[in-house]
Amino acid sequence: MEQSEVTQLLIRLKKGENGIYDQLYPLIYEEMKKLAYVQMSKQSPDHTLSKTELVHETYLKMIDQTQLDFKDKSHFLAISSRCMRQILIDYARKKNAKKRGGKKKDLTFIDELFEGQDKKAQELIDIDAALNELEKLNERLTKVVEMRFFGEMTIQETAEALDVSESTVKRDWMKARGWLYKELKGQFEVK
Amino acid sequence: MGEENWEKIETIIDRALELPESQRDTFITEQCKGNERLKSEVTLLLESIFDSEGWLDDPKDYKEEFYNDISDDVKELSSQHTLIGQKVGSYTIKEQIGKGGMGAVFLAQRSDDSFEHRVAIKIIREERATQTNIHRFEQEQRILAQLNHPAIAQLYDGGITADGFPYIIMEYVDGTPMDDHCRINKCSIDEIVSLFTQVLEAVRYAHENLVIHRDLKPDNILIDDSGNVKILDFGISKLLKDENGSTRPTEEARLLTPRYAAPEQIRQEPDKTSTDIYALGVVFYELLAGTGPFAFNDRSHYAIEQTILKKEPPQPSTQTADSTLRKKLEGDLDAIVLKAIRKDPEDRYRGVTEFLDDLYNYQHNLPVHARKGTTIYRLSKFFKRNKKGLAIAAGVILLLVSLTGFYTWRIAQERNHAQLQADRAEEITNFLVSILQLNNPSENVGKDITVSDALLHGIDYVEQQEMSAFNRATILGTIGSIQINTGDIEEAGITLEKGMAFVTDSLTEQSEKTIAIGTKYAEWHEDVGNTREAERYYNLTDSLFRAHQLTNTLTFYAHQLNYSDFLLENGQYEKALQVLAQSEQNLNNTAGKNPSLLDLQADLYNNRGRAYKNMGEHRKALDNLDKALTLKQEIYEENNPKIGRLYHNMGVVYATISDFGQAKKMAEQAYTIRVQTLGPEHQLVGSTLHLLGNIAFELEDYEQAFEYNKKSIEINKQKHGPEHFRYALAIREYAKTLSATGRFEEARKQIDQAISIIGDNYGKDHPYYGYMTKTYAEIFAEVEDYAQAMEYGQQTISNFKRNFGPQHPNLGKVFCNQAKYAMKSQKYRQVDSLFTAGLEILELHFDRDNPLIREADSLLTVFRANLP
Repeated sequence: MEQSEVTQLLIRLKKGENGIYDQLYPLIYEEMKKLAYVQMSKQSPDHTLSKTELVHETYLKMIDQTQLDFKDKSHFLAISSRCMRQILIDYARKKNAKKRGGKKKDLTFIDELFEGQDKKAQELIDIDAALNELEKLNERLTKVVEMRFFGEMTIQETAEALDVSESTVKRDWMKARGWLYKELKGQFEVK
Repeated sequence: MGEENWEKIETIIDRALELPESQRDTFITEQCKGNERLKSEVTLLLESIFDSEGWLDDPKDYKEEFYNDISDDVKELSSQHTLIGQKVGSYTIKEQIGKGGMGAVFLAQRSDDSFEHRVAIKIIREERATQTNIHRFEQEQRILAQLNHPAIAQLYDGGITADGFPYIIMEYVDGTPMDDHCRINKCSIDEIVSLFTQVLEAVRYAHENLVIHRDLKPDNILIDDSGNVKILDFGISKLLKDENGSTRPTEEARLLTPRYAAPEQIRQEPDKTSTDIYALGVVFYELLAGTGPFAFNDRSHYAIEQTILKKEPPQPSTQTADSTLRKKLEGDLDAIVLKAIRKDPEDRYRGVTEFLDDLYNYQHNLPVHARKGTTIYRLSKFFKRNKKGLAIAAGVILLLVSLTGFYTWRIAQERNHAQLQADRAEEITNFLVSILQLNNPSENVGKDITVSDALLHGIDYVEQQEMSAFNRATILGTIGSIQINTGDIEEAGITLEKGMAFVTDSLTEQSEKTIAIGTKYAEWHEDVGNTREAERYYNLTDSLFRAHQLTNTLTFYAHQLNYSDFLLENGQYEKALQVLAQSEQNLNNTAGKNPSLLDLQADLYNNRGRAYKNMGEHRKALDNLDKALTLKQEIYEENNPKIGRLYHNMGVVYATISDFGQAKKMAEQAYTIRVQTLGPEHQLVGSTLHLLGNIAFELEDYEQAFEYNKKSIEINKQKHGPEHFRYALAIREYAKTLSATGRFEEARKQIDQAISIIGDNYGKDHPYYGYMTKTYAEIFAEVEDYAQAMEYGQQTISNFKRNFGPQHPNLGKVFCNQAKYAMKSQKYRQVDSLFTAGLEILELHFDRDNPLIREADSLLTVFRANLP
């Protein structure tokens, strides 16, 4: 897909044309996954955690910036954030499934110690499920988490994409984080 | 937690966040106006907001694994199997025998081949091999190398490979995990105990050498061909600690195997020897009972952790259906295992030696230490929770009442099982006596015995005494329900969970009563705002009723009513209908219904009506409400609030489809009934007056409308206070009437007040705010200020779109209004598309002869005909 075509799709989306979101979403999703692999193979092992920030990378890759303004950018980033969430959850699920699939071996060494390593994967799945619940209470809170957390969008970009004030984004983020925390972590009171 | 409630919570939180900390409590108390549940939810969320500060701030933490895995994939593609054939120390790597997050394990052979010597080599992946770690690693590894015990796999050597990876060379053990070994060889209890003694001796040796295993589990405890125990990976986890001796929290969590993790490990406290004792206790439990103390399948990480932290494990003997085995486990072994897995490390065996001693006592029929502590331990735990100030007498009476009910039910059900009946009667009598015994002053000096204590004592009794699982479950269910009533919410959850565990795991026969525990438990989750779990248990209970063919019972219908209420509260209208389909079918085939059954059936119809109404299927809604009404009329006299409610609901639906004639009839009946049965000031009367005012307004009977509006304002103000949204909605109705009668200024004043209340309570994004702007538009249109009207109309459109979605009838109505304003203000270009948009939506919901559609349609036709 050409850069200009994606850009055009985004412009049509902005105009409110139907069905565009459904066209854009899979394009961005696939591109992001591809980019992740490309990025990682380029990095030296020590830099696996460098500034790779897929959502914005994808934007640079897919969009002709001369044709779009800041507001359009935030709309693109919003879709990418959703893709990012999807990608991470797909990955986390796959990882968990793999773990469950591999039944016990006769011999186990300390590798087994590290079974707990997919704790983050599990946590992501839990967060995702909780977000679906939160969406029923207030969809915007879920969107804010998607953009700020999965998409690593700035407060300004998020406010722009949602068409609300920055202070609303900040408050929404606090409420969403508090709620998720309450759902997922609870209080560790033991007596 | 209903959505309305949630919005309220958000509004209060928003404002509280802006206040200085010192003022927040007062503010929240004020806002919640004595609504304790609201207040506790607000407080909980606010606390959680502060507790979670910093959490999720760095998404990289979460993405790291993903990137690492990708980079592994990439690496693996380029450099597969490069280690095979390489030399590590004096060993040559032969094949990979395991792989994990931190690296891989290889089988290796001594290179000189002078004698056959096979070892296992673990190579740790490069990311972990920082300079500081390497030093620590070598030091620890020297300590481990000194552990020489026949039952501990020997660590021979370790070092850094030529390419800079740390590695460990270990004894290669060809064996079977202990649990598999016992299963395959069908080990007897005595054999298991003696094998386990070997394990304990090895662990004692390590502890004496100041090495803690930290990750004991059957997979790490192998039995070789000669039947000898070999424990793997002793102290390995400690090798990976960093400089200051403690692992970072994230790593700590990674090293845990939750199944065997002790509460203190979950809490990320330092490990002690008691941590190993806990893990050993769980392993022993599994070996004896064939299953672990807790079922962890498919539960969230959080739930697993909570279980480990809070849930008291059942006795191993209760986990088996095999009566010989159960007899063998009851008493000593139950007590020994439970002592090893106490939540508080202080309450466990103080060392492996004590554990071994007790097993020795057991093997030699000597008194077992663990048994002494049991009752005192449990009782003291329950007393710690003593909070409520209710008198014991009240509690006992409550219990007697509820248990008598269940007792007579038993008799009726078990007529054919005379002996069984006698047994159970005795069990329950004993149970009651045990509760009353708490009132014996000598046992509880200086304590106020509360109903909460009595209930907990009852639970203790149920758990300790010989009693059928069936009775245990039923009593736990009853106690849990009472605990909800006495406000012991947390305890109620624990009790119901226990009761539920019997229902799902132990009972072969089920009754309505036992399955209904699931409904109670689901309600409990709903009450504490745990929507997901609530749904799960409602669902599970639903299937249990079906599986046991108990769907033709009162309890099942009551369950369905609760379940569908829950779904309606949560906006799952279609699901609610699906759920209700089952009871509808059954009830239609049931002959000779008694009044309580008919009553339930009517309530189920009412819920179907509510679901349809919310889905915009108004005809079906009316149909169901009508059925509900007919049924209620069979049981109750006309003058009954239950009937009033149905008239009111039907009035609302008729008003929605603009059949105001019918709406009026219904609402008037509802009003008469409600005034007579509830009194003229009741809040439900206020609600019906609101409806009546709206209907009179639509029928252009403004005099009537004024009367209703005023009364409804009065009641709503009195019942809910001058800052409540219901009050604001009532004055909005009044503003509409004022505007329609040409009293523009007064209308403005009223709507200004209404919108400021809504704004304060919910902010501008709430649908109520949309209702307000809609009325503004109408008021301005009335004085022909169409520019203002259209601006408010536009605000309303975006509000409704956001709140109701693009196809809601409310949105259709606003589009049509907007089209009218455009026409009046001669903005012709917009008229056609606005009408079309409005009509498209309205036609989805209403018949062609709906007045709204007819009006819009004819206006559009006229407009098109007159276009130049």
